[in-house]
Amino acid sequence: MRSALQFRALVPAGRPWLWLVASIALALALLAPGCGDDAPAAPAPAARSTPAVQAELTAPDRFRPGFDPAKDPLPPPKRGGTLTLQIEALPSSLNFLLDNSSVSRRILREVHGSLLVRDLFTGEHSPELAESYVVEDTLVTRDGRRLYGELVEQGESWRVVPRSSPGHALAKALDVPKSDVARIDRGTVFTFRLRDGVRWHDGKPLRAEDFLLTWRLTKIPEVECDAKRFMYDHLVLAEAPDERSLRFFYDRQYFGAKAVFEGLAPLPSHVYDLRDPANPQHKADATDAELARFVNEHPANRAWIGVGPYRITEFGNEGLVLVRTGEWWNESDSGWFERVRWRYIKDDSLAFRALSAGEIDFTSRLVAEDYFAAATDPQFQQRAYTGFFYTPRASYVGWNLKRPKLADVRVRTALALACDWDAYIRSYYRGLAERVTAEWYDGGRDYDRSIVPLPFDLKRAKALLAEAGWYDRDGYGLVDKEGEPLSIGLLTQAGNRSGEVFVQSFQQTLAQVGVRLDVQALEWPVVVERVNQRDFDGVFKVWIFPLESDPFQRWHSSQVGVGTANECSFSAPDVDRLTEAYVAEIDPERRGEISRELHRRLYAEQAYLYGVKVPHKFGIDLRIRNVRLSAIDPGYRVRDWYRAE
Amino acid sequence: MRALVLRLLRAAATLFGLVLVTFLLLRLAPGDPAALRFADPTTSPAPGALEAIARFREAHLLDRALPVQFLQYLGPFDLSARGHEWFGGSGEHRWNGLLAFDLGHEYLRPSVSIASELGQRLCVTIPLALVSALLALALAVPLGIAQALRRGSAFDVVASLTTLTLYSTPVFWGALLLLAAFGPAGLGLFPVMGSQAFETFGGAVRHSVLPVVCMSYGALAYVSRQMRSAVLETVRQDYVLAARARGLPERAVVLRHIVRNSLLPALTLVGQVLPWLVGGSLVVETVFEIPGMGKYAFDSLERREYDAVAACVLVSGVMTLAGLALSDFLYARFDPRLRHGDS
Repeated sequence: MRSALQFRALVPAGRPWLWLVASIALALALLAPGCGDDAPAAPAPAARSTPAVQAELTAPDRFRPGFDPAKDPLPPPKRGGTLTLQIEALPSSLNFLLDNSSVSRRILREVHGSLLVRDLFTGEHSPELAESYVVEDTLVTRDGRRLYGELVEQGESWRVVPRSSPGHALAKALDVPKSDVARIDRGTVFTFRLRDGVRWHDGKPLRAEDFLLTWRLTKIPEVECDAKRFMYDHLVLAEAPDERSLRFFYDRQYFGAKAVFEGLAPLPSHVYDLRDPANPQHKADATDAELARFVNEHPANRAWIGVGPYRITEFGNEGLVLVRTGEWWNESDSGWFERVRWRYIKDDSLAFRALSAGEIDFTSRLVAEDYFAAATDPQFQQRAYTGFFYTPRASYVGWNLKRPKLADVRVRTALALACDWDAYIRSYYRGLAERVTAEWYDGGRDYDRSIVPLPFDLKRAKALLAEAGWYDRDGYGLVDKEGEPLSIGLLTQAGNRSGEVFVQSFQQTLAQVGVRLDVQALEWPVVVERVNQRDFDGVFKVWIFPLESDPFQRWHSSQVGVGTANECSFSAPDVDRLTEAYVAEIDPERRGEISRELHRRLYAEQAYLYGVKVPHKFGIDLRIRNVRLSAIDPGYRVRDWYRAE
Repeated sequence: MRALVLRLLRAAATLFGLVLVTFLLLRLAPGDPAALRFADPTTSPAPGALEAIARFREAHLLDRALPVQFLQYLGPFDLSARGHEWFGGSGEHRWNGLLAFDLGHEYLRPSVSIASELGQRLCVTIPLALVSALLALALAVPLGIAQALRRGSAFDVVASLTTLTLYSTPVFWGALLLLAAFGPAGLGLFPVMGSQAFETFGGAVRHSVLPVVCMSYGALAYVSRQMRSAVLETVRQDYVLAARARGLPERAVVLRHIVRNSLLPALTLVGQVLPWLVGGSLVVETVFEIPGMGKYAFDSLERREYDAVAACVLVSGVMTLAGLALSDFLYARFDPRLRHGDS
């Protein structure tokens, strides 16, 4: 069965010769290691005041053949019709607390809402279900009192000015002598005023209580929201001064404080809260465990009741159907299509064929072979066109630093020098992918673009290995040390075409420096288990990360252990200090400086062999218009699109 | 009556063996549903994921010894913390497992009952399998007869080669060839997916053509070859010679004496074709993205949904046993010798 699927992934639709040509090109590239682009790229200026996202992609219909916005203005939008898009997996739940997959996030974007929303094209946060919000600071006195408000420095004292209402703890401004101040935490109290007239899809009004329920559920361990719970760890208190107001308190300065409210969506208390008298299954004395089970197994997790411009009318094994409610509070942004259909197609090549046949309107998961085949396929071009965009995601090889052979930075650097990423980009992605040097969004402030990726340099790789004591003592062709040849196991997901191509080329280039790469293509569950148990030398993966990643989880020594995000078991005191400073810094510019320093430090360590920024290759029906692309996941906004006949 | 009881006992033992082997194979295979539930492959594991994994494993008894897990799966008692008081549980959910007629819930979608999901999937798979079986039988029986009656002719040779080729062609390969030939990249006659739920009846029929062809060609080849052999066997019987010697017209000899008697082995195949097709649907449904039982089994295996996979295997096992029983019944019903033997 697996072989059937692999075969389909291998053969470009109707063009087996393309496969052959690509294979020959790859073989030639691999046989000619000296042809790699060894010259270091010209250093780019360090990002000093970079915007949150680069906006170069946002021109509408940028990839549409022959489209010139200057001469060919967009046709006027028209309401109606059905838009059909591919989803590669069915969400296990639409309850955002329980399922944090990219698929469920994509769907929820249309059927739900949250307090704040990040604009896909500017990267800035703006209120969505809140109509306004106020951010205040916290002053902690030496006797442990926590005062919040706007903090104004006045000579030898701090003035705490209450800015939010209603229900503020301070009736008027208060001066606190600096000698009494233990700590000041900026941006730690958020007060939201909810938008009036927002209703759930079942007609009930949205209340502040619905947000409090979400927050309370994140504090119950039995609620299966572990993928998100840590985001709310520092959100220690929440209150609703009235039906339309909410106030949240952080216990410390946190760089992602605002971003947390992107994910703080409401759950209908009258549906999910057993203790809510409005709930048909009301049970006033329900325990936390009962409430958790009620939430984990609630039918509404699939028959979702949201507050977005679309509501779900079907959720079956073939996908979901969304229908525009027509009653959303912001009519001008409530979508142009009357129906949006998310069609579950697991096989991306099948999705390409479905797009060619007019069965779907959009897929953002074209495999490289199909993407390039489309360029010469007249049938496809009559109906659709292709393009690409990048969101923060990159391929990498993670090394297990607990393995003695990989503990030496010289060995890891040698492995990086023996990896011909440029040939891989030329052959598999035909130049579409770009090299990266960190797991941060390379268009933002945090990424140091002056770092030049290590070149493909077998001579230097050999020299470094020899310096680390690895050279061919016995003449068998493999470098060895203390009687052991340097043999490294590499886990990769079976059936992942890009992974297969990469590991084959890596295996061959490593062989040229006398290192054996034992590739183990395994089912994904097995890869996950092996990595969680740290039972691996190296693993090839693609990682999707947010615009601003939390480096603490990935790099801090406290995170070393089984099953944590610090997969490579990296530990260094200076990196610990930098990650701690990063997560506590709320000024984006200063945070960028810390991050760029961290970036330089970590790239020198080569704990991860950073690979390429993987493009999303999409295909879309020619009639769909106003398609703008973004660097923020999912990279497009369905609500702007319409069909021009 | 005794034969019936014996038969039921044998069926129960077979099913128990099937359940045990499936259980062991699934649990001994590498991969952990808890790790999959709490580790998004494209992101780093969240802090606290380990605790969540431990809680999940504890709740589903995945941290217990295999015999305990098997007893939990077999039932009828729930051995978990919420289970029967006899086993130290809270009594909230006393009964569980196959003997309590409870197939359980999915790990990743706890609100989804495996029984109801399987029911929905069978509503897709069984019509496809039935149509495929009927198509295969409707074509295979006359083809086998015609081949046997023209044994050695060009028609027989070509038909034999064709059926042999069909029989030897793996279903996934056949499916891909059909897609290439008749899908959008080829003649464009049929859609690429076997979608049904979103379509009208006409649309559903159009979407089903390629999957049905894929599911039936193997059965067609097999049954036609069996039919040909059966007819050839019958033609050599003395009663056929006697019929011809009595001067019966050839048409009557063929229809009354040869075909009727040759149908007996084919009848026994009827009962076997349906479970075979349901089992074979795994490949076809996966290639054509049809949300039937086969695809459910395949997807569940990838997600390490142990109970869902085991349920699919169990349903296939039950259908196979039912098919065998049907074959025996038909054989007994239509073969007077067996009826007399019974009496």
